[in-house]
Amino acid sequence: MRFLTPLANLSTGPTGTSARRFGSSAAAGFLAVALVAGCGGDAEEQASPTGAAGETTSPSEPAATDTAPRSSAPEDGEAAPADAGAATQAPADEPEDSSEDAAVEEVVITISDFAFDVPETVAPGTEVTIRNEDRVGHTVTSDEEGLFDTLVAGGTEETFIVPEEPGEYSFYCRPHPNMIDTLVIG
Amino acid sequence: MRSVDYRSPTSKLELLVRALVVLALAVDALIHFRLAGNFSLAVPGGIAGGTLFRLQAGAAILAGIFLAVRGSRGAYALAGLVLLSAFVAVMLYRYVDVPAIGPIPAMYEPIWYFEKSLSAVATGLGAVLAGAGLLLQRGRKPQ
Repeated sequence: MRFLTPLANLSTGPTGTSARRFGSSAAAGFLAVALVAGCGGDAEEQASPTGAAGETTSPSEPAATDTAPRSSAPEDGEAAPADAGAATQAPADEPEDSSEDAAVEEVVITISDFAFDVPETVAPGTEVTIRNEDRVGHTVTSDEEGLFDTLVAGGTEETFIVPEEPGEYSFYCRPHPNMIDTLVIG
Repeated sequence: MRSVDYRSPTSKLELLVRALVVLALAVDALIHFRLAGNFSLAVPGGIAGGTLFRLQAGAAILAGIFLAVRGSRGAYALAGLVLLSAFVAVMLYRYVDVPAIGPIPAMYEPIWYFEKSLSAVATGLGAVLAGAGLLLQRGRKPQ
């Protein structure tokens, strides 16, 4: 009888009845929570408070709305391709003047100690290097869904192409959602 | 004079403590499931961070169900162990840059964000309450 003590106790008296009721309803509630968590929990998009990688419309717009980013965002979310040149600033009659030394200069976003270090401004369509000096991985993910989302493993570098449209693009790190910054393109 | 049986088999206080510990385990499980995917991105090496998070969440679910159904000393001890392991891990990797140990990857993350803070509070309080539940159980006389 000793080994049945907890169950026996639960079934005695008014408090025992409520305990038994509690036990079964709590277990059922717990299972419900587990099911909800299990069904929706493991996809990467679940953890992002801004929903940047989710399928629904992005709840947060870029900081500057004067130059709304293109509606034809790339499907894979990697980066905005530079092939939509006609849509922007009339580079048509520029005869590749003197092969622009500045264009060769590397533009770098550095991640160190769980913070971004971003250049003040970046030219539209520039290839930007993301240098991750931390040991864990980070992402540079636009708040607006699908503009850019680049994963950089710890201690490595990756590149991506910034959007062609000038403006301010706020972004964050998916695994560490309080890492936020803004990329100014212009 | 009405006498009060302080050694009631299942007191309301014990039920309250049990409910709160089960709640803490539910929060623990939910947050670890939610963060698992993104943590795999940040810590892909060894046993991926996401896998560890899912294991923790699974343990919390099992401990929660066991505690809700049984309410025994063993159930409280298991719940306390699961909650304490989560609390110690989150605090350790928040403040100490622990290198990779065998298959366990380096998971140093010197920042707080909402889910992480909530998990730390829930598991810390839950572990204390599980200890209290254990003490309440010790005071009970076997029938």
